[in-house]
Amino acid sequence: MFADAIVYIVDDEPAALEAVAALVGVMGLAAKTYRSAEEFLAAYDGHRPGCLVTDVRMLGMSGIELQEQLARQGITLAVVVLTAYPETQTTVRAIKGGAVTLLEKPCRDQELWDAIRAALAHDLEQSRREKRLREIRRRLETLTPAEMLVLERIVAGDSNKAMARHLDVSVRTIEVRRQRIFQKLASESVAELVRMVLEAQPNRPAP
Amino acid sequence: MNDLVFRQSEYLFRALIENAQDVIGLISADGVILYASPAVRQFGWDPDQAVGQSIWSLLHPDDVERVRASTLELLREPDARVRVEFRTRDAGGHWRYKDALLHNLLHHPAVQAIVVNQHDITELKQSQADLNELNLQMWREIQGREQAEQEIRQSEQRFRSVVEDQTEFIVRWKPDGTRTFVNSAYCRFFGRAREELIGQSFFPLIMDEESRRQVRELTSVLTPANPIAAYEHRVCRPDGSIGWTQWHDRAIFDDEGRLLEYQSVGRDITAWKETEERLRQQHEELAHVARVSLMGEMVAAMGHEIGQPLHVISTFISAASKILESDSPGKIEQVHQWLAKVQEQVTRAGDILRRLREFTRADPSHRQRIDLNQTVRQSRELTAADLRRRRVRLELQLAPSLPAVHADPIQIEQVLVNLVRNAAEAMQACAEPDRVVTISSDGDENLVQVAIRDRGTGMTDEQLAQVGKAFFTTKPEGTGIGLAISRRIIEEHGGRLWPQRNADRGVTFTFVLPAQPSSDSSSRGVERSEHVR
Repeated sequence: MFADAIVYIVDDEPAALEAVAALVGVMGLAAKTYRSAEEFLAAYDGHRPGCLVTDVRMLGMSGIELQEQLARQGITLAVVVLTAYPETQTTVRAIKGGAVTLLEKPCRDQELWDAIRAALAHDLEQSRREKRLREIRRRLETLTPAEMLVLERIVAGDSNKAMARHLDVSVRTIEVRRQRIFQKLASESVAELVRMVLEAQPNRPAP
Repeated sequence: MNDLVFRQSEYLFRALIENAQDVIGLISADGVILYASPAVRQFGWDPDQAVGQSIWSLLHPDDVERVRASTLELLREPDARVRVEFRTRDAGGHWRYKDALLHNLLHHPAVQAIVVNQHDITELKQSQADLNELNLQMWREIQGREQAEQEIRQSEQRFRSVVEDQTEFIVRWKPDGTRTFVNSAYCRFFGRAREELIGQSFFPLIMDEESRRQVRELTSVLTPANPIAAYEHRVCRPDGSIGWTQWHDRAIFDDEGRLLEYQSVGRDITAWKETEERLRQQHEELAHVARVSLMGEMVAAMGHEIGQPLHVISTFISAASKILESDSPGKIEQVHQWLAKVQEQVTRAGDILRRLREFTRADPSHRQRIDLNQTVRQSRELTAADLRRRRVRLELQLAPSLPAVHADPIQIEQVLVNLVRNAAEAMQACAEPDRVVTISSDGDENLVQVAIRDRGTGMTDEQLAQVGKAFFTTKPEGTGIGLAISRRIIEEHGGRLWPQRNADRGVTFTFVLPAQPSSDSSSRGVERSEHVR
């Protein structure tokens, strides 16, 4: 399932690195270990799917700061944060939800195993979604400005006639542009087209 | 015939008179000399010259009155005799003392004069004067000696009362410990009669062999140039109790520098020692309370310190149980390897727990020979978690080797933990790369020094001066007890702790402890300090 996944482990303590790497190995996954957050950031090449297992106590950059740094760099890698300080749980949650799993050390039976699997599953899905999003954006970028205007109206739910009147062109012209849009975006229905646009532009005001 | 007899008799008397040593003379009632025997020649007078002179003119003016009084008495009654002393001038004008017997024979028809028999007593007088002078001198001398004796007696009395009445014990003893003198205070303190003590050695009264050896060692090296030794030890009291005594010894030498005796002045310091002990116990209790509260503050961090090995253990166990479910070849070997690592982590967790227990134990101070470098490393284990949480780096710059010190390792660790924590707290506001605490150590044959340096916001002169006073703190949540206790711990170990502003930034707290040169007991000390860990 996670054939090409890599688990990145960051901990300043060799024994902890070794233990987590051993567990990851038993899971049949590749592991890469780093002694500091900086070391990891310098080495990470954006590989997906993967997950980061780290500790909040680390000197230099803390696990949380590492996560923030990743977000700033647009890296959406799933993160499993191990902590001995329960009080930081709330902090972590306030900072970031979703891709961060917080585990209190020492973990209960299976907890770390499960958390890594869940993180990888999340990351796999996330990376697929990101990949698809990148594809949609790439396709959207092939549209001409005139085609873009027509797409806007389609998403807004206008009829061809209304569009022709609104854009001050013939209905025929609208029809030609519509066809090109469906071809360029490899879409077969208006519903799919609308979904793709909304996905690519999540901040777009509702039509 | 009568005439012949008379003549013969006159001749006899004349011969007697004229050959007599004393001057015999006849004078009239008004003092004119009618006759003088030849003996007047010894005063330079010719007998014929003397006749016709008035005795009053020859008398010493001071004696005239007295002689006149005697003469009046003499004249009052015929045949009266008086004896009188006076001075007359001789022909040379010198005054001569005379002892004279005057006999009134004016009424005697054959004499009709006062017969004067005068004897020269000038030399006698002189001798008497000399004798008097001598007597006076002797008397003075005797007086003087008596006074001196009195002074000696008084001073002896004073000395004796000083020796006897004072509360300090005085004992003189021969080099083998045999007492030759004890004062009352000594007898009272040891509850024995003087006779029981004199001639016996005092060494058996000393409680422990170590102290006996100390007395022998300290007193055996005394010299006329350096005759004083001082020491303290416990002694057995007659009621079976143990008393603390403090002694100042003086070695007594003869003129050739040979040791004769020792004189020891001692006092009962039992009450003082007990107070000191109580105070020490209180300090220890306070130090313990402070340690426990220090641990309380650090417990979250220490929790993580325990959590870390448990995390490693649980992760290895997860991996092991998963691999055993698989059909991975060599899984048994793999599990064995992991179990060994699990064991390491269990030991580590156990060590941390033991260190916590050691650090918070309430045992009385247990001093031993320790290596401060080792204590610094041990203290690092206690502070590591806290420093990590505060994102503070700890750097050690330890001397390659240090002389041992005689100290309680737990208390010194407490000082180190306190100072390191303070240093870390002083850097809360610093940028992370600057949050560095440096512990350095150094030492020579006299002192061992440990310095804890921060790069924090520093302290004002006023704050520096206040450091170490209880309840002084620059931290809003602090009590200031930590530093006060740290300072006292160091001082109780015979050392010193002080803060100093760094030239660039932050403060350095330095403490020094007296070095303990290696001795035959060093191996035992090291063994014990290893055990404490």
